[in-house]
Amino acid sequence: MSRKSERLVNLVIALLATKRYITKSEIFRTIEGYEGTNESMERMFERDKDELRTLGIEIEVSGLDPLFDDEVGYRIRAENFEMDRHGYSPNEIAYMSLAAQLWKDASLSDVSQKAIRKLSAVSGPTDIAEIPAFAPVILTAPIFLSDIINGITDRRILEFKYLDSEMNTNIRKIHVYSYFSLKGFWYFNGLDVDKSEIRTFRCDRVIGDLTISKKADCYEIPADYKTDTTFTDISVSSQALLRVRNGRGSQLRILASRIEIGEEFDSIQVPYSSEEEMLALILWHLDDVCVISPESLKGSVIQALNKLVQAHV
Amino acid sequence: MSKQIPDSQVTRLLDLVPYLIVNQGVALNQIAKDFQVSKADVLDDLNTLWMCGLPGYTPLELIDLSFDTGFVSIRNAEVLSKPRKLTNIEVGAIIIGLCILRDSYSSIDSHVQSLEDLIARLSKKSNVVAPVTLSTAVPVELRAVVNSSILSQKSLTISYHSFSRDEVTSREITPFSIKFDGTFEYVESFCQLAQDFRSFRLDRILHAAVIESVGKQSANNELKDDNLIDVAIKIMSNSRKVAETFDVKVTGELHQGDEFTRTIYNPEWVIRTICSLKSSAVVIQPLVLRSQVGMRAQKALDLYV
Repeated sequence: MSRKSERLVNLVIALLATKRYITKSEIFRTIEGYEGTNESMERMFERDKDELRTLGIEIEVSGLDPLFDDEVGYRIRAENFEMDRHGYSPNEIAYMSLAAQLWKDASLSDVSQKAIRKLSAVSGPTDIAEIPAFAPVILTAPIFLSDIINGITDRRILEFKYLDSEMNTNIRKIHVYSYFSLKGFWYFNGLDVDKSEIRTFRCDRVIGDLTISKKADCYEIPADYKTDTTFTDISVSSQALLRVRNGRGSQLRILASRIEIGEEFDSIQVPYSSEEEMLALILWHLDDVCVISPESLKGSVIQALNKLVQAHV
Repeated sequence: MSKQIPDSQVTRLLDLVPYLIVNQGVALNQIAKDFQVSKADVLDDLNTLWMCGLPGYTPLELIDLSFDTGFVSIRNAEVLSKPRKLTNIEVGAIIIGLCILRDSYSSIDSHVQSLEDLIARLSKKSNVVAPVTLSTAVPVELRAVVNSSILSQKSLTISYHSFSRDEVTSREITPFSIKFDGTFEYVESFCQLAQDFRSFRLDRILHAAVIESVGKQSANNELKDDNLIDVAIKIMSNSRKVAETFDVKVTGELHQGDEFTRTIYNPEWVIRTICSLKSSAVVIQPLVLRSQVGMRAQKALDLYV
């Protein structure tokens, strides 16, 4: 194990130190750890190269001199390997390191740990005493959040099983455009390939694994695309006139546009856009709230209450 | 696709060099802590690194390490002296973290603009997208007040809306942490009114102000439960909504006609929740609770005659 790590680190050092491309034969001749027949060294080198690439290290390949030799050369460019520290002030490095620390125990904690490791090697005085010791950690972030980010960044297709409103699972294929978190839930948004429509998906409704296509650049995110995180059509707004028992219905009172204090009940006017949500809110308040208008809402409440009584005899 | 890059010894070694260069003389234990590995692993890493260097591998080219005293110093490692570039996913994690930080400050704070700039720059440089929003429905000012009271260990007076009882009460609390249960954030506190530890939903605190005297209660995470009851609920329609409302852990599909049991400590919450779901869910057991739902619905219905 250690022998192999040693060889790989030596390979990185050599490829990084060189100012020109170095050839395989130079590598075999000079780098410690390459031994055996030419064939076994070749295999060893191929594996090492792949391994470094999966570790995120970019190895550049090039023909040496087309006139004389077609043997390819290798090098690692410093700008592809090293952090661009000078682009960031010490305070910014501290912000970044603090931001990574927020992931402690959450889905991206492994990733963040590595980032912290790298950032901790950037020296410099910082002046961020004011940073709050506490910031809400997003513990609900799905484990596949990194796939979503990867999907958007590289425009890869996501495929997953999704639970519909009657709890049937369907396979969905999405060109993912954006992601967001709202009131504790994580969502992603994009083009549903089979339905040819933009849809929003809640991450905890994804059942099982989410896979991401190997191929990158599978689509383009439309230039005029904008994520709608409101879920509701705010333009349509109705007014409900309610009677609410004194001292009750704070939730409704917060939403109220007008309140008139009465004897036992107060009159409250509440604007709403979704009758479904308004109905649920009124039902929650049971006998503390009574609908005066509109008739349709009043009718729905009465019908729902009747059903509840019948279902719970 | 690479879900995450595996933590191999190679990446650890590559990150160890720049770390040691800025932390000359660091203790072995500290390295183990910072890299989240055992001390034996650290020793193995150092012994491996000791054999690395530029081709030639004479003492002139090898990395020069000393660690026999339990403290590590490094020389002759210029090639690897700079920290490695952050991967796209690492940048993604940092960007989300920065957004959370930004949102935890009051909007007039000078940090907000700096964080805003940094997020934009990081995102542009790396081509990694930032989230559209991380809204938690909690006003920034309220969060700032609660945060500062936790830090300074001062008490707060809050107006709190108890949803299940539908009352607004004024309380004096000493908060010690904010917990997140996956849906809502709770302020874990000692409540002077209840003389006990209580958690308050952050989004239901209507107003909070710091009291300028230091709180006396120490942190204690044991929060008391009221009497727990098992409630059997049958799904009539809208299964997903019902399952999510009662926070049933979905193991597979759950359909119309299926029943589930949920342990609940507040019967009032069950009654009101069942009613707000219209007839998507029906209480089966316990019978007392079942008939209470019917009775309460009837009482509400009586308002319309």
